[in-house]
Amino acid sequence: MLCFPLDYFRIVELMRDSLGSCELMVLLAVCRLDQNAYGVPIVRELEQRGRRMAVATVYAALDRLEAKGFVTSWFGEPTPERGGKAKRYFRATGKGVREARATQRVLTSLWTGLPNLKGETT
Amino acid sequence: MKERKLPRIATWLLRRFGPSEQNQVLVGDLAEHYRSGRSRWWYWREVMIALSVGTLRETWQNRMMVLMGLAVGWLMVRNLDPLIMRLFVFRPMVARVIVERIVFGFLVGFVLALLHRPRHIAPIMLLAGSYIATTDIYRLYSPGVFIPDAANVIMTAAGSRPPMNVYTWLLFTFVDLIFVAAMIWAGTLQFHRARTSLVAAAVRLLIDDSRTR
Repeated sequence: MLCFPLDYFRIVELMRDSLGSCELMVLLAVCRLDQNAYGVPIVRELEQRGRRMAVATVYAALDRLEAKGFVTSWFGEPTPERGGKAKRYFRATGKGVREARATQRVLTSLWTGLPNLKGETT
Repeated sequence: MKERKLPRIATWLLRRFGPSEQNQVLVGDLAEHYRSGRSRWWYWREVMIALSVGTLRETWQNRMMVLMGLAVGWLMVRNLDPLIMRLFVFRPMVARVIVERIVFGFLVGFVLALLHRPRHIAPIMLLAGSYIATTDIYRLYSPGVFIPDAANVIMTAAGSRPPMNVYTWLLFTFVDLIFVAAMIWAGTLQFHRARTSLVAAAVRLLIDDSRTR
């Protein structure tokens, strides 16, 4: 039985079960970093490729990805340069890689043969 | 090589009010990033973003609880404030108002923390934000605060004090910030042990009472 407002929130959450652009970028950065994917290298990887993101925003995207089953996480050893705080490592799951591939196919097919975009220079 | 020290206030804010689930990891990441050559400005910006993102996420994840917390907070602000004000009768007026604001802010923060631990930061921060938005920011648009309107000009020319000008707005805002700071301060204090022991004592008392009957 649906009732407002609880089910409104549930519907919004269900609608968000696909990859957003920010999540896709973070997921690809995790895939690129492979064994060394934690907060700092992910942010640097994104910066090197022209997208500046706050660390908290990256973690918010990673938590959403984990909730959707696209990445898994585990805690590493604490290190002195981090003030004794542990690292949280991430790895893309098979489901995550499949979703990234599917999104790539859709985006490639949408971009292919696209004429010059109007208003690009304004 | 000497280790670069983290900005203390920003780190304290992050530890106290940051997203509870990944606070330690976030503090470690920011420390590592900062020590690799980032600026203080960058650190402060990251902390502010982390606090905003954390509050919004906790609000979304515990929305019904946060709504209840906001409702309780606003009920207290609207109904208890005049009653508390009557308890303080000393002069001068400014000192009286400031003391009342501190006591009342502490009371509101304490009640919200007691009702909503361990997820009490989101309702307290939202109540603080909504209070400032609906009082001080709203008051900015009152006639005469920054842009003098006709009534204000006439009143000033006639020698009577305008109802609201920049100075009165600053005074009201200062007093409201004291209230908000007291509320947040109460929310950061560790009352949960006392609460647990109080609840445990009450439960024990009820069980003993039912056994003796």
